[in-house]
Amino acid sequence: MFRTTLILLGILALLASAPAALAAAGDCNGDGSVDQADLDALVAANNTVATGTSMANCDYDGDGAISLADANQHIAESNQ
Amino acid sequence: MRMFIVNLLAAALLAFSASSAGAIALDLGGVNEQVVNQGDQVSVTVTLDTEATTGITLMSIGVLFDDSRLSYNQDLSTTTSYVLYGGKGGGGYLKASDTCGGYPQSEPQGCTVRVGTTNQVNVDYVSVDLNDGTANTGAGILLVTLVFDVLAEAPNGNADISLSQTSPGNVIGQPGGGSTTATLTGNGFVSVPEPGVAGLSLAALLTVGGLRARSRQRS
Repeated sequence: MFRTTLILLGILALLASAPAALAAAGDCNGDGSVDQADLDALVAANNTVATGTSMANCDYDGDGAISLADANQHIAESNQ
Repeated sequence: MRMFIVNLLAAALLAFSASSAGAIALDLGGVNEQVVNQGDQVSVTVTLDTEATTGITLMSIGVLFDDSRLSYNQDLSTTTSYVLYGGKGGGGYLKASDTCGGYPQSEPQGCTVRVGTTNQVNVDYVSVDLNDGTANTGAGILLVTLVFDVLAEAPNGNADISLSQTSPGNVIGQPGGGSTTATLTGNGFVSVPEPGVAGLSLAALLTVGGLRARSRQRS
């Protein structure tokens, strides 16, 4: 009984975390979805340090800063 | 057979010339090896020629400078707020990024130094249509005028100023996240003389002027 409960809890935890994990890549504004607002947020954050999990998700070249090159890569990734 | 090969070569040549006509050209103006002294200012311009290319979605061009001799003066620098505007709806024109004063322009109008660097100013423009990019073309379009102060303690030597499209953050984006490259011209340097040499030159000029004035008075 205890084992079954543990397994069920594990499945629930996985289900709860799945949408966030799926939305992480390209979710620049951290609202859980990838859409036009993310590109707008990325362009607005041009030339800033990629702070926070959301912006770090959109620092495509991994140089620690948000740039128009990242915005262009975001468009490319969104079109795949 | 020979005729076929000739035709094939001609077709290839045509195809090559057609593709190279689509290149974008960016020119750095005002860097022509002129001698500048400590405390002077240097103004440079960046102009764009689309060479008939359309579909520019994002444009970030770096201006690299020798920060051991030059200091970027953002307050005195200016950016053209929008370019490649055409007709009704504007045709996906480019507007200055917020890092270059934005559109409409707000102070400061000069582009900012690239975050994490001290020697790179990114000239950044964003299309109002990030799907299709620009629809219009043009030549000789002034993007920015950047002003640099020659440091008071600048060591003598050449201070390089150059355009870059491969420095951090740089890109010329095209629809769907594609990209293209530009032909860059005008890269060069300004020459900073030894402070003592500049002082000596001035003293020599004053002496010559004084001697001439004296000889005129005598005659």
